[in-house]
Amino acid sequence: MCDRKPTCGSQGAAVEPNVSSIASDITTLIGLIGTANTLIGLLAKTAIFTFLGIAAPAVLWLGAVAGGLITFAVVFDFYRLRCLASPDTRPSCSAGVIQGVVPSFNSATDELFPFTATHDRVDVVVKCDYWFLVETNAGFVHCSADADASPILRGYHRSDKVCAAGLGSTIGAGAGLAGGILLGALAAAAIGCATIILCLLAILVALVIAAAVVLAGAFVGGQIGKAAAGDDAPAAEEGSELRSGDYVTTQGGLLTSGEDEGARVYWFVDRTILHGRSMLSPPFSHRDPDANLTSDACPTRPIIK
Amino acid sequence: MAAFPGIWQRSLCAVTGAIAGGITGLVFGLLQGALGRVPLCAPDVLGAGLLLGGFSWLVALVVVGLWLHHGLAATAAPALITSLLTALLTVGVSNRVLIAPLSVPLGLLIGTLVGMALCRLCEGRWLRREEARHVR
Repeated sequence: MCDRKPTCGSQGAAVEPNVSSIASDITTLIGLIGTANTLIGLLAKTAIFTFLGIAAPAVLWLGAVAGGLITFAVVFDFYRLRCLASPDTRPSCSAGVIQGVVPSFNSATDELFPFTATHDRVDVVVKCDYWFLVETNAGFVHCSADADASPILRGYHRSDKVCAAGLGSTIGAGAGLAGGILLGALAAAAIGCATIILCLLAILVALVIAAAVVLAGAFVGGQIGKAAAGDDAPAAEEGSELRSGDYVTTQGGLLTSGEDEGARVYWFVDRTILHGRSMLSPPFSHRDPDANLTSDACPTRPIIK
Repeated sequence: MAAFPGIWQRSLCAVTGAIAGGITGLVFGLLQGALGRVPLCAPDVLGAGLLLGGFSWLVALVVVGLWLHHGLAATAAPALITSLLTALLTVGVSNRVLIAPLSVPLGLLIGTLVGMALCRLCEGRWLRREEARHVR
């Protein structure tokens, strides 16, 4: 017997985070590094600063330093949040049928900026017994495109490839930082600060070149890290690769994810138990696992009176 | 300022505006450092605002559209309006205040407010359109 079905989409007023905390971190970094650099710029005024034979007004150096440092900090922040942070999660268990598997590095953006790649994701249309997990503390509910609009619970499988790319990108960005600042200052010095608009352009050029060199380092480092890690597709406990249509029990830690519009997701899936395959094709309805996966591997829900 | 990270985690519009404002404030603050306490004339304010609006739009596109996977097509138009408005206001206000280190916090504040206001406006129109469709 199913409870009331959760409403698909946004759950109303945004109480839970529904934007990636990386966006907030980037803005904070711009705020901190930007304020510090403008303060130093105010003190340095029109002073000419020479380093390794490159002479440029202090504000142009500061533009390059800001561009390089912010970009490096952003690359590291992606790695930190994807692989190093241990957010609070709620240990949970659910079961259903796999609607689809979204592998990591599935877009050109992820190849060009390897530090932005997300872990492998498995979307499961859950049995109605587990709708409470999809809905509780959620800012958003993802649903299948079937006639019942069945709720989906996303599960992220920790990928060594993503973490190796993140670490490689961070090392590469760090290696590119000094070169980026020097090149940025050099290019900006060629433009100079003769007029207001030229000076504005020179600061922009310093910032962009420093950031671009850091990103180039992140690209090279990320690709090396990714290649070194090899493939690691999400798999069930017994070793078989997970595919659309598999009946599964999923165990792991649930949290509300800003990167998933505020939906509840497993971050990460600790254990997946395979129970067989559906005879139907996607988009799946909850009625399929409700009828065909009657005994899953989750412990029985306690009855709350 | 301490409440900002909370707002930025709940509103994509606010964080897009804040990124645009922060970048504008950073570049304009550095320029003010070079110029000293000399205000720009109106045409220079307009030129700097438009240039920085265009640049911060590109930054917002890369960060929100590509890195955060929201898509370039979905982000381009709203981010352009937010970035231009934020940059023009940030340059205008910073040019009046004339304290270079304040230009970044001012940009963050203006961008957050502009982003939130534009989001409310669009949300209201979208709701009215949805209501009209249901009545029909």
